[in-house]
Amino acid sequence: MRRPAAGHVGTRPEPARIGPVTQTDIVRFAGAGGDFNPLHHDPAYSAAAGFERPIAMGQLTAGLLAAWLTDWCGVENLRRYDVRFVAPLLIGDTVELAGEVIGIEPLSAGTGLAELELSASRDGDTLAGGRATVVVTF
Amino acid sequence: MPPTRCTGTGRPPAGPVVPTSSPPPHVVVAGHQRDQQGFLALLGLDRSRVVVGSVGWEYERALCVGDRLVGVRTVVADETREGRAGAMRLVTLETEFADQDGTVAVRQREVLIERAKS
Repeated sequence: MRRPAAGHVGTRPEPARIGPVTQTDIVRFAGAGGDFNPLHHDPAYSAAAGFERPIAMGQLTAGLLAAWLTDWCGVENLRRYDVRFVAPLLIGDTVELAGEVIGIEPLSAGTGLAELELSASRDGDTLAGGRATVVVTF
Repeated sequence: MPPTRCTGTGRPPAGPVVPTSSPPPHVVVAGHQRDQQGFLALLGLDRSRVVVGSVGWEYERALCVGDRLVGVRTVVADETREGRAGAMRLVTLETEFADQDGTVAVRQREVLIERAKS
């Protein structure tokens, strides 16, 4: 098992920016995951549903945020991950991924369960907010 | 590189164990490989008005290459709430993914929102 990341209250893993998101990214994600809801690739269908253009799957945003998080903490150290979708990620958007340790509960000597607050945003507007619990060293 | 052990209470598959490299939420894919039209019909949901409000995962251990999971999805809540645009329906689903020993490795909880008719 990889050594957990070092963390303490206030630790902020290096933020990341991903994008601009393209229709190709969305179609690739649909192919990988099997979500072929036309909201994500059919402009007429998404317009009829009230969106100005096709929207990315919420799971694409959740996947980007989770992958960014586990690149920092190691997937085997992730205990819980919750994400709440606030606004759709649209084609052309660049998403900013960030998070901060807001609490730590001691687990064993030198390790603890860190609670992180997470966000995926676009130009400062939140697209998705989340929480995660991960094992860290401190 | 030595094999990486999976962690948690569940027993990972036999042999050298390597965590999957896909993003942690990827068990959600299982839901897309089911009969989605049948699922929508069973719950009486209009696909064009359905969005996912939130999803959460609780990991007993990391999933590993070689794992075989069986997911059981249950409707745990079905509510109607008044929103700005009218009545919204919120359906909460929980899925337990058990491994080859029958031990739950991951629990998923999601809230589907059926937006009001426009």
